Amino acid sequence: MERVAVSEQKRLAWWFVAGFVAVAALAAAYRVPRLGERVFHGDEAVQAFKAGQELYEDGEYAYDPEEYHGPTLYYLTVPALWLGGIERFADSTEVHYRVVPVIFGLGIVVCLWWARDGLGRRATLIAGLFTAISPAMVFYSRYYIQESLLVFFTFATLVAGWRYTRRRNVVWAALCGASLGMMHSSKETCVISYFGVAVAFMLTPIWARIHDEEHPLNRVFRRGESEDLRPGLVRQVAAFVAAGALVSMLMFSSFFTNPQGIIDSVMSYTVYLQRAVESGIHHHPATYYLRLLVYTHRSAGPVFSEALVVGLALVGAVSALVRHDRDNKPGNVHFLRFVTVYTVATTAVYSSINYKTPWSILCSLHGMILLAGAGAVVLLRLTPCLPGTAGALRYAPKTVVGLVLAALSVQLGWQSYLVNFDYYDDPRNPYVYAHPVSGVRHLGERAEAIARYAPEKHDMLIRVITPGLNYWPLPWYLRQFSNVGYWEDVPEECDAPMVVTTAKLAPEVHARLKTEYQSENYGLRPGIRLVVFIRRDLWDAFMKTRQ
Amino acid sequence: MKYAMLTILGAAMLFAVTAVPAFAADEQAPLKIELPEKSFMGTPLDYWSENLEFTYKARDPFMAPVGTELVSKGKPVTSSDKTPSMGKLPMVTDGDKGFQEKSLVELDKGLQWVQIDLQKKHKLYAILVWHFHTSERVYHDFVVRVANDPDFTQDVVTLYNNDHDNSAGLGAGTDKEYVESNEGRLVDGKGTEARYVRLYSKGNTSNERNNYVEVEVWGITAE
Repeated sequence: MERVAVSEQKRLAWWFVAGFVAVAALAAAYRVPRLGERVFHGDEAVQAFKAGQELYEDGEYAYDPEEYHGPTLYYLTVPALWLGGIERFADSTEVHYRVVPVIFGLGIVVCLWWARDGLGRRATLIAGLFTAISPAMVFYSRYYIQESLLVFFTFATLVAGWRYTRRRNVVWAALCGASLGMMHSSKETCVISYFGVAVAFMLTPIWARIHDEEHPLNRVFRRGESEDLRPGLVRQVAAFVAAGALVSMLMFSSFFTNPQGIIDSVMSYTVYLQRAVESGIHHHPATYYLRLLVYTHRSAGPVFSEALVVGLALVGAVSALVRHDRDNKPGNVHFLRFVTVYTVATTAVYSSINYKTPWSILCSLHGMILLAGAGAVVLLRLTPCLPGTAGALRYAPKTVVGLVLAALSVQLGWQSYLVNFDYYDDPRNPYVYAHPVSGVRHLGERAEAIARYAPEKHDMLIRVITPGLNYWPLPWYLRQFSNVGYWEDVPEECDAPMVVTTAKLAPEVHARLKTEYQSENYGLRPGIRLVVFIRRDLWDAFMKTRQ
Repeated sequence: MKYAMLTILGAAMLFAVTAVPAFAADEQAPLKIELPEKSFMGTPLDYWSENLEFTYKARDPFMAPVGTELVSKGKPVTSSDKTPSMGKLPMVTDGDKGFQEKSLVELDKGLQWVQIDLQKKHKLYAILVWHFHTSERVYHDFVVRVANDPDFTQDVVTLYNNDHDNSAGLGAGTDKEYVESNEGRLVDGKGTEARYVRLYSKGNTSNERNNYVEVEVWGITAE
């Protein structure tokens, strides 16, 4: 009898490992291909400039409390550029940068391995599947911004903390602290995740007491039965705090070369708090995120929805709150409750802040995905067997529910394909936000083509005349050129081999041009157009090769 | 004298028999083009260029020989994209020119074409196209060609081409880009005789896809 049980355990373990590897492979299949296809978003281009030019090439990066978020993304890009054999920023491509969030996006899936006893094995695989194919998770894992790093380090914190409650090990304590520090140095919005974790810390023990259960945290802080474990606890807490502080300070101080960065990392919250209140063009209603996830249909085009994840997350959350830890069910009810409270708290905070961008919801969505894994298992478990039947027929209702969930998952995977490989820069995609159109890349290609006929080659003057900073990601697509000038107002002297301006300023620029030009139109973003003037002699030389 | 009178009378009758129909054929009348409802959705494009034509004011009536009629309605449509991501190809000639998405056929990214088979040779006087006028977009590399075989190898005539840099590979054109509106774009057919009409485009200022809500071909059946 004992042998049979062990054998079954091994069979299940093998099945779980195979499923886990398959899910990780699926996550890679969605994240890795065609990384350079979508044009850089303005934010991505700015981040690439910070990482590739300021940090990698010039070695002059210093944390800026006003803009650009934390330094983690930039420092983690350095190995990617180095391994890619890049010597100059100008030689780097979109792929060299986007590979960083891809790796951490995959890391979110891999981290599930250490949460399997918290979620339950089947729930772990389903959560892994949803993480692998969720349109939003995939989209922002292929986007050179801080979000996938923040989600990864948040989950790493959660997982390390969970493991620590199981093993009371100094290594897990240090890993938990280090992840917490990396969250801090990734993005200022980490405080919202900190808040979610703090609320979960406070509420889940209360909930356990109501249910007359022992919360795992009680085991951590109570005196051991055979020995006093508190000296170990002090060492573990010290490791946690030291690792967190060290990592954060290391990053913000640029490896202790800019101590001011540590102070700035705290002072930056006055800036970001102000921004959260004022919000400007990023002001959206409280329901923005949930509507984005549940139903998006913009103009003519497909309907996008991650309602499957949201719905199953609700089932998982309710189940975690009502079930008892003495129920003989897979997963750990305290872990699931912790995730539930964390998810509800972070979603509430993100929704209540006026300033909203679609990628900000990723931390909350990840919590929903974890709960959705548990929710799917609950749904299958609660589906009754057919009474009065025997054999396979008895499980027909469960099979039907399983097939429906599988079909909906396939549909979610198809949506993810559309979001990431078809509508990747289309405003109908719910996760496309003020994204440049491909015209900006064509503009860069045109500059390259014209430079072949200019005596100065890549040193030819390109004048970019645009009000404000409304030209990003143009500097990225003109990064091969050493002589690009930017003007906010129309200068007296406008002539140059190539002049780029906005549609609004184009008549004024045109009036000041002293020689003949060919004009062209390029989209920058939907609704924002650029007019490019190319000196006639260069245009004619170029066109001779185009007939 | 009598013979002279008869000769003059005969000549006059001959002239009347032959010339009057010729004059009638040359008689011009404005095309009765029905415009769809204007869409006020979207933000007007902040767009200016020497290569760009604005279409904010109504188009002047287009004059065509009397007898010119809509010859494309319900005619077969083929495309470089066999499976449009939205709509079906017959919608290109179904008479629905609305800006709403139910009227829209969406083709893949890059250079794509739709082709209308008029099923017999016609003298073509006007070709109208509405790509997608829900917002004021500009479609790139818009080229209109006509021919007498479906593969466009015989009697190919280019009626419109605004691909100024030859990026579509069909030859550089000097016609202007234009902003989509409910007026559509009217291409002068110049009386060209052809059976097939093909319209190319290569993306637009909102995305890289190609759209059609309607194409109308106006002409007279060729002898």
